Amino acid sequence: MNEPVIEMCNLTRYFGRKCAVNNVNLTIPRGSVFGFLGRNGSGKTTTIRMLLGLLEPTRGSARVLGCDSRDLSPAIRARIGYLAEGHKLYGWMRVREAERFQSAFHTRWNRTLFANILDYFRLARDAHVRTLSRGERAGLCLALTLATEPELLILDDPALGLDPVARRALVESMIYVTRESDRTILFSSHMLSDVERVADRIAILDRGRVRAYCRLDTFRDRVRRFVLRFATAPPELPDIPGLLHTVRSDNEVSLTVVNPDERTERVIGDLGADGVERVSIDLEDAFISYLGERGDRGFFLQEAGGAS
Amino acid sequence: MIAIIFKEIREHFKWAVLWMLGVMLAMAFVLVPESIGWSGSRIQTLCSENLQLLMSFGSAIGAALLGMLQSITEVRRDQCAFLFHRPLTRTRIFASKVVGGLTLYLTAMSIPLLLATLWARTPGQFAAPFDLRMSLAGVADILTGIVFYFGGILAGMRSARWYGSRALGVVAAIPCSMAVWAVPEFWHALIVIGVFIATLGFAAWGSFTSLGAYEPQSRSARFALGLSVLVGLTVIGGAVAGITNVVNTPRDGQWVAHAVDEDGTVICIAYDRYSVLSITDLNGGAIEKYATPKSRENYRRTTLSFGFIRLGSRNRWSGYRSDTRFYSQHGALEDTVWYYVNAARRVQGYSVKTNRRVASFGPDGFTSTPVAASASFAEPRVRTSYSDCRLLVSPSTAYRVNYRSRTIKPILTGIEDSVITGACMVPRKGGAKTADGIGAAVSTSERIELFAEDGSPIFRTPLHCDPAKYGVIEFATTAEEDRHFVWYNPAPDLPRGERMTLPGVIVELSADGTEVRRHELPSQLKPAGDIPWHVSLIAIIEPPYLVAFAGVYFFLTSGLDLSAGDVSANILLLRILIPNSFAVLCGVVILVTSVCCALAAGVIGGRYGFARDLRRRWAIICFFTGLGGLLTMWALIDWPAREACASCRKKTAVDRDRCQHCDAEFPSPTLDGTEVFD
Repeated sequence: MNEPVIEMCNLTRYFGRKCAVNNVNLTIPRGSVFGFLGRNGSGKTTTIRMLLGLLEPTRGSARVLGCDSRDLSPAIRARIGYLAEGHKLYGWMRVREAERFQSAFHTRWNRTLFANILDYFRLARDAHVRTLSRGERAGLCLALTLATEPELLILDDPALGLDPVARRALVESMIYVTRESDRTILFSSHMLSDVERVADRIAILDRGRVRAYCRLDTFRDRVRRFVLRFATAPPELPDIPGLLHTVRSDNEVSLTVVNPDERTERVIGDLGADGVERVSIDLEDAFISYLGERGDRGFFLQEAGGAS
Repeated sequence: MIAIIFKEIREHFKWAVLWMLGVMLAMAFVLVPESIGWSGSRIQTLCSENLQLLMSFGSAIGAALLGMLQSITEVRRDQCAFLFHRPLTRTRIFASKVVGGLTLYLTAMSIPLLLATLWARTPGQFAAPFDLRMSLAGVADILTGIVFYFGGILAGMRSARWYGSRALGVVAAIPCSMAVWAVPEFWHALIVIGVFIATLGFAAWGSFTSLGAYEPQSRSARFALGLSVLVGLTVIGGAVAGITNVVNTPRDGQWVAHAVDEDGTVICIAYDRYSVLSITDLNGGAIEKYATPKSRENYRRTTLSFGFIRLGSRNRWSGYRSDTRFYSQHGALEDTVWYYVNAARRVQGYSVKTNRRVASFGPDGFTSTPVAASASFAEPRVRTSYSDCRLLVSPSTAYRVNYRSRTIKPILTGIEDSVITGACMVPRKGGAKTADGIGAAVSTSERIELFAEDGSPIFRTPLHCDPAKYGVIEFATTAEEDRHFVWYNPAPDLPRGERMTLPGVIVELSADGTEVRRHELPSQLKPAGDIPWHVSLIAIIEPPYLVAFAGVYFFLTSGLDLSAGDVSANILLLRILIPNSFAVLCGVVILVTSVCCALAAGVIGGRYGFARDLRRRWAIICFFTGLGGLLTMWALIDWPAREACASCRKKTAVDRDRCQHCDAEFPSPTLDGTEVFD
């Protein structure tokens, strides 16, 4: 059951001179829910487009369901559900026309599921797609994708522009898909609470490079925050291994560190703090610290305010 | 597939309907005035040049726009992600889109043509005959639109800039349109269209299935794409060269014409643009009566008018697009227009009031009732000019036609030793025509025969020049009918070089047809103008393969003579594009350009790590195609970025797994210790 559904080997893509995806090596096992995280422009969509053969890799390769991504056969495509970023549909189509269009290509078409999702999003069958709200359009896209009962579901930022209720529906739909153990989901998202709810593994892309590729628990465990209290003003910080982020106040320093080990703790201990507290942080804080500005910096507006 | 076909039809239906209505409206503007009434101009119905232009431009623009619309809407904002992730091969998606698009296009363009055809063939609509084959020009234009349709898809799909090479797909279809207009037969047009459809269709298919990229395409698609881009660049190069030619051509407006004045003197009229500079005799001597500017400007009042015979029945303008293939206007009198109808071999008269056929005539005379096929002329007509409508000539018989009295009378028949090659009415200055005055001249393969107004023979005289070379014969007579002049001109069909060097001949005959005098006119050869040498630099953009082809073609057909200093001696492209005598200089420029382009292709290929075979191939292509080939290479290839190799520090293309210089692998991104892996 753990054979890979997606394998990427040195996957690289340049746009002109800019390297959008740099030597990505990832393996996504069958049955997993894989969160693909990263800031805007980090290369998530480019990677997904390469996986689906919509973009040619500059270098390297990827295999999806055992088939080279550059040459996905119709039979393989039928096993992959893809929800593109921005919920692409033809605006002139009505909802029922979109259903007819999509179902014409798939021998497996779950009418009940499609109808249920439409009902959940309160979508009228004769509404034009161009008149739908962003959430409704997302609902329709979700229905069109899930009704094909795909073996591999690839969702590119599906929560974009959705309200909390719609996002909850999205999460539930992912849980619905994974009711069968051989279903795999790869989804990119900025909604970390959603990722936390469903993902069991994550990969974090930063400027095209993979900086994290692990189980969700592992990531949370490896990113830690230490709060150091001093009697006087905190001293200048030495070079702390794995230091991601520092926040200073009058007599307190908050350090966010990745992969802390004994050496890290020794360096922190040598700072002479009156007290050192380990604070647990959620995925969002960990993510922001991980991909935010490094070092001892405050928010840029504070700097701007200080200058005025 | 059906779902995509219907989707395409549904998506673009409204645009197709709008286009169809626009074409129908424009057609009405073109055709309705011809149907309202005869105004003295030719009635061409479906062969009208305006209608053909409308069909040609309407098909080309409509099809190209539809092709672009079908492709751009898919690739814009990543919309293709929805369409392309179907459990279908991309070839089938492409085929479905094409079927849908062409269904719309062909319907939108065919319905107006069909309606126009039905309207034109309904009796009473046009005062002219109708033949269903007259719609073939429109059919060819519609089929040419398919080429533009693929050009539109290609332009829509290619990952290139609009101001760069993206629109070249559409530009590459333009030569197809030009060829379809130029070829004489419909089946020739079909072959041309087929070749272009195969090329641009393959190119469009390749670009569609690879979403605009070049490298993933199959070899055949890449070849077709390269050919399309090269053709597009050649068209643009030709346009640039043409404009440069027009800008740089010296405006030497001086030229010389000849005429015969009423005294029988052959005169030379020197023009500066449109004003007469001087009038002299053939030896350059001044003529007293043309001493004043006014007399020179009015010299036509005192010169003879010539009737005109074009030997041979072949008409270069009677291709499948021309109305003269089916009929030709043969006269008009009061409310009836007369046409010689080729298929019926009879002359038919149409009322300009009712637009209906009211009469016809054949060798048996005029009739107002339908006639049997046996009443047709036995042989096809020998073409005469419109002004000679009172003559009707076949290879064995020449007829004199009187429309007013509705009679037809053979004036020359039963000749055994030769065939009739042409005829003309003989214009005459001054005096009223009499029944026994000179009326018509008929040329045969051996002689010229002169007839009086009433059809009686006056004299016959043998041809004075070789009719194979002198294919245009003009005939004039003095007011007193005591002297006649036969003017032999080189045949327009002769190779250009020969035509330009062959002197015209004017033979003066006495009243009984005896040769009195013979004048040779200077050839039309003009020395090349003094064109600045830098104009020859335009040869940089001329494709060497085309120049070589044209050179060989002209050498074989007209005898290339670079030393003649004659504009016409230059090879085709140089003659058309660079009207100077620097052909050799241009040849050197082309050769140097070719070598430079081949070297550049090799160097560029080396920089980007092309395989040896590929470098060699591009170098050869660029040698034969010159700058166009180099630009094609630049436009086609998805040029990868180049980065310094971590191992050897030399720049290497990033689309390879290993450095092209030292074969080292690209290193993985460096780790900084903040990575989180299981």
